[in-house]
Parts: sequence; C-alpha cells; structure tokens
Amino acid sequence: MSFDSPDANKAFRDKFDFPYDLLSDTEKSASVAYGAAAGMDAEKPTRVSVLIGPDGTIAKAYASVKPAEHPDQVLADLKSL
Amino acid sequence: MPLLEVGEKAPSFSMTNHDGANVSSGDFAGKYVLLWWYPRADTPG
Repeated sequence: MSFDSPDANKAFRDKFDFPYDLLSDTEKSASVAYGAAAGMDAEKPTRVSVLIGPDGTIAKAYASVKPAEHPDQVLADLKSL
Repeated sequence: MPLLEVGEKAPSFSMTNHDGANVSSGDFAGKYVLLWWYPRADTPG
C-alpha cells in the first residue's frame, strides 16, 4: 500500500510480477489510521506492516521491515499464531 | 501517529487496487491479511 496512483502501482506490480494487490491510499486516511504515516501532510508512508487476524484485531505489528526478509518473517509468525 | 499495536482493532479500509477495483477490509473477514506499506511504487520492498 502506498500513496501512489493505481496506474503507478500497476506498473510496479507488472514489473515485478507481484501476486498480490497493490492498494492506493491516495487519501492517506488508512495509512494515518494504522500509524503507517505521520499525518495527513506526510509525503509518503513509512515502511511498516501489520498482520490483521481473523477476529479483525492486529495480530502482529512490524514497525521495522527489511523487505528481503519480511515475507519469511511473516510466514514464520503465521505458523506460530 | 504510532503504528497500531497488537490487540488493537484494525480500522476498516476501502481502497483502489492496481486494476482500479475496490478492495476493502470486509473482503478479508475471518482471514489473516497483511497490510504492507512502501514509500513509493518501484522502490525496494
């Protein structure tokens, strides 16, 4: 998720063939609500992630994300939840 | 605003995906879903 337009996200997704949705938070409201952006005047969100559980609460929050390692980290956490 | 913490209620969301389709939190009811932010498209991660 980012503040980019759907077109920019589509180009990004096509380039790397990501198998998941890239979402445009152009209004910044979701990013701010989750604490992934400092405020409505932020130019870009921070590189963080949250895992939402089946009950609709935050199951894991990752304030520091290393992109190359993050998928394995989340998959390992899912196995332990 | 700090990142939400474990146990807090996940705010509902509704956004447009790369194909122009709407994706909302309700689509994932009862499932795990990872929201992963990146500063800008076509930056690493």
